[in-house]
Amino acid sequence: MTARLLDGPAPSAGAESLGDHRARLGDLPGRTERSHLIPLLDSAGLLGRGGAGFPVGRKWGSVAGRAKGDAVVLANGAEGEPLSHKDRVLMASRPHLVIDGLELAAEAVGARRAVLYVGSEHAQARAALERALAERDANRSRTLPRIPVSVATPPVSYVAGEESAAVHFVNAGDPRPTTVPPRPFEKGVGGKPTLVQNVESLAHAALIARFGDAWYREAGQAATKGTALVTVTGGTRPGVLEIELGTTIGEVAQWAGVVAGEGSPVLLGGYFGGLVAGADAWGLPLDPAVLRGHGTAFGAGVVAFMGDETCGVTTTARIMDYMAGSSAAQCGPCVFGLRSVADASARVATGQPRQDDLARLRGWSQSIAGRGACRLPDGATGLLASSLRVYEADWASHQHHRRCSVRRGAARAAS
Amino acid sequence: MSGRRALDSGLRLEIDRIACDAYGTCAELLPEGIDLDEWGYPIVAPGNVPLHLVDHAKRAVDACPVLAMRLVRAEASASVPIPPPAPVLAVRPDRTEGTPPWPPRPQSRAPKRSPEDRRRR
Amino acid sequence: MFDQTLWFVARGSGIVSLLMVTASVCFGLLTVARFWHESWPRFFNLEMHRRISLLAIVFNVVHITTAVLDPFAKLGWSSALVPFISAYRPIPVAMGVVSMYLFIALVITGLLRSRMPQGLWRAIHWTSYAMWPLALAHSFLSGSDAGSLWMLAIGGVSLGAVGACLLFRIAVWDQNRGRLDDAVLTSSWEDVTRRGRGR
Repeated sequence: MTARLLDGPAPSAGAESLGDHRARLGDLPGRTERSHLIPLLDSAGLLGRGGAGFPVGRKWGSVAGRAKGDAVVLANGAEGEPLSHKDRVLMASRPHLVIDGLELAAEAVGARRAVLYVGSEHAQARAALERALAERDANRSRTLPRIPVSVATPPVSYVAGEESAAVHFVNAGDPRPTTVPPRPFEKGVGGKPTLVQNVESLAHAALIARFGDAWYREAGQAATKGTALVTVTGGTRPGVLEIELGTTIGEVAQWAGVVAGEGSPVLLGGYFGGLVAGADAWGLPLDPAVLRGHGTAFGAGVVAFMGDETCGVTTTARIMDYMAGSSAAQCGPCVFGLRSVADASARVATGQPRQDDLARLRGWSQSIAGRGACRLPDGATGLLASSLRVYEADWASHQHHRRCSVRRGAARAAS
Repeated sequence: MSGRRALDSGLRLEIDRIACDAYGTCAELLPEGIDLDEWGYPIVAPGNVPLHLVDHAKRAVDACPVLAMRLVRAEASASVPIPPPAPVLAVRPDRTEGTPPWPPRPQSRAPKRSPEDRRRR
Repeated sequence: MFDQTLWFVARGSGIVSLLMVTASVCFGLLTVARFWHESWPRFFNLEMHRRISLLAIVFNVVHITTAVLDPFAKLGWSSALVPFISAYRPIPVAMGVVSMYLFIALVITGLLRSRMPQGLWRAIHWTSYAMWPLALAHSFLSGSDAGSLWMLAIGGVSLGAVGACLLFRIAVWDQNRGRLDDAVLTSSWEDVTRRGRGR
């Protein structure tokens, strides 16, 4: 597997020191080269790695266009998606790469202040970043202008990683999403144009600044170029892996030591994502553009192999319960809708369905999305919709016959 | 239903989902474009408000007790770069499948809406 | 005869003002309490609250102007604008003056609601719980009608209406917003699995 972000010592070796970082990667480019960074990111085609996949160069450009030297850059390392570990691993093992990206972004958009937004439970990541900041203070190079970098640690929750929630937490200590417009790039931290960028995206930008767009585009097997971090679970070798975009699900399964039969369901993107299954599924390349064409998405780079032995209905019901509990409790359709979904799917999963539960779940999978302030209800119902499709027979069996085809017996609560 | 094709007003309804508290006044004053779900929260028809309903839309916006609704220029938000939506797995209409979009301009008086509302408390 | 006209108009418009402000407060309470029925649509309460408030301005202006101009009461403009300096029944008149200022603030912030911070709007709207009792007390203590039966009836009805609406509003306090937090905290999975194992 291609290693670029994770090139160098293994993540298990801990945080890379400033000295090693500089020795391995060399110095940052000079001022003239750095002034062309935004067009360079555009031509490299770097997409955001926080889940939305928005072009990074365009995002930096929209903040730079609005800022009058008073912008703020926020590195988003909240990682509230339970199935994703890549941001944590990146921050814990390559903190200087992330901070390089942060400082480059700050210079490019004209920012006077930067924030590292790290989930409070990601202790290793946070410690690594704080130590890295101290190292840099002690060994201040002349390359980049010095700006104050603060560390903000929200409680780990699903919605805390949302853009407006990050800004809200830094402004008011409240990690809940707010109504947009105005979006952070217009009015964010302290009312200033704010760039909220995932830590992995910043790390890629730091490498592109050094090695160029052509180098970045050398990797990538399908339409989208570059590499990405993915979190793989469900095999004998779970963990964070750096892949070339376009690597197929089957290839990842091989690396991760997945023993489940080919074509068994795979959850892509996380609780926010969707399931794929079937003979062709494992041949799908992990490429944002291709996956979108297939009605699913790359999201935050989660590849979770569900296996043939787990009951998809039960797993979906648990995830729905988790998502419902993660609601910020601000918008009715999310709170009542996801709670109804969680209740109904729990009843169906444990063999106690009401007559219309499955029909109503199908309805809710379409009617709740788009009616909250953030994308939590969209993600949850998106996963529900894909589950209803991929595990159609299992859902029907649970609903109409109260039997679980996986456990080959009566559907009931797992002990 | 045949009728003259509704002209586009270039305006669309935007709801502050956090401020919205299911008062339901908007659905009363603009039944052609707003329905209430089973919990009393609004489902808005997709697309721009037809020209012949703009006054009603303004009235509906005005009548919200918590000012949760706005009428905005459709082009204005198109110029702002919005990140593409997260995993597009569920179809995201703002209205449940099967419900008709904005109706065309009626030739004659439109029929009264039947009072099917359930009490939602 | 003419001398008395102004006084009659002042009293009459004052009483009508009181009734309108009472009705406005009632409709305001019903709006927040989300009172509605098949024949009492949801938009009705807020629309009536706003329209009656605006109409009440007219009657208030007439009341204050005629009261000030009336030769018998010997109020000057200063008495209507500064509380407690009136020679005629200073405290009741002061109640009216304070109530007037609160009413002005309520109307202005109501009209400019979409252009101001909602916290400020809400804080000023809470003063209506002071404005209305002051208006009621002013009606009874500053006029000469207080003893008559019909005036007592008007006072009783006003008090009863606002009291009933207030009780209703308090009774339905925990509306949607309160339920949001409760709904999120329950975990259906634990409930369902517990019930399932108990079978």
